[in-house]
Amino acid sequence: MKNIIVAALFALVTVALVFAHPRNAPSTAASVAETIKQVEQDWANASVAVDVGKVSQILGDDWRGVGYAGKVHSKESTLSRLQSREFKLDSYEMGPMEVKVLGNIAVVQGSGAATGHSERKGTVVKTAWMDVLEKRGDKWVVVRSQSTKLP
Amino acid sequence: MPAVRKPGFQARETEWGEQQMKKIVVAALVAFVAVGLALAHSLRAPFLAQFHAPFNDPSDLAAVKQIEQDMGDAMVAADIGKLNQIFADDWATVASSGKIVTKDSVLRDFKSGKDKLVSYELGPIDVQVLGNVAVCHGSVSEKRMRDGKDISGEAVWMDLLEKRTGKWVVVRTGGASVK
Repeated sequence: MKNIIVAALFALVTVALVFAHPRNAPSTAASVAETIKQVEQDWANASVAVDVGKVSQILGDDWRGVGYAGKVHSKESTLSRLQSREFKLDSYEMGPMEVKVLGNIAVVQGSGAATGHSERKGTVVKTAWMDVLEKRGDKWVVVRSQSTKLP
Repeated sequence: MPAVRKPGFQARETEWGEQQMKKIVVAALVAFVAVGLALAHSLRAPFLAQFHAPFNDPSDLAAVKQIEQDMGDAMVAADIGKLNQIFADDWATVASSGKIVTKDSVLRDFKSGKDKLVSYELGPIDVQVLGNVAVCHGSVSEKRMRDGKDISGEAVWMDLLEKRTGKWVVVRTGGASVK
């Protein structure tokens, strides 16, 4: 009887330990928010540097973005446009960002001022934007974006 | 004097020993199964997350699209109760002025008549369901008044919805006027 009790206790303790052990590395909402903000900053920096490889890592293959003109962009068209330098982003000043984390999904709203130029002229555009990111594997990637032009 | 055990007693002792052994084996098996189940439960979520494949359940797609339609209808009818159900309490959007707009202010503006949607027509809606979260991209052509001024036009929008206690609610919205 003693042996049975010991075995049962062992089982209970083991089960309790398994459930008590954190499933992932400890990540508070605050640290996730910081990671997301860094992804956004990296995206801006990579766009300025015309780093197509980096932008390709940041955007999910199924990414879709709707620009302030209402046009729908795919990852492919965005990378192609970046590579062509049809419009070159000279700088991007990131404004404040607000991140909300919903498990493996995060939504971030922010704004910023972009300075860039095409062959014909220079442009300064202020935009407010919203991105949806998903944690795939151990990496956050942007899956949906939307932006609007600010006055 | 050495103890003399009768054969019958020895047989009973052996039988008792076998029963004890069986119980220990059963208990050990129960322990292994319990640990196995616990481990399986613990590992399942991150394991499956690595093999994420977007799965758009048709009922979720329909429900999310219906929410978008209901939102428009509730705005036209200035049905504050319905809008209150559709927007999550922590809903927020960034207005074209760059200011953050909360649920409270939207409901207040529709209630007071400051914001009025006269009519609208939704364009096609693209929905991506990611577990308990859905992202919608869409367009709308609308006749809208704000502060008595006609601000009608066409817009593109993106909503992020979350399924909370079995019900989809809108958590974030982004939009841009295109005409």
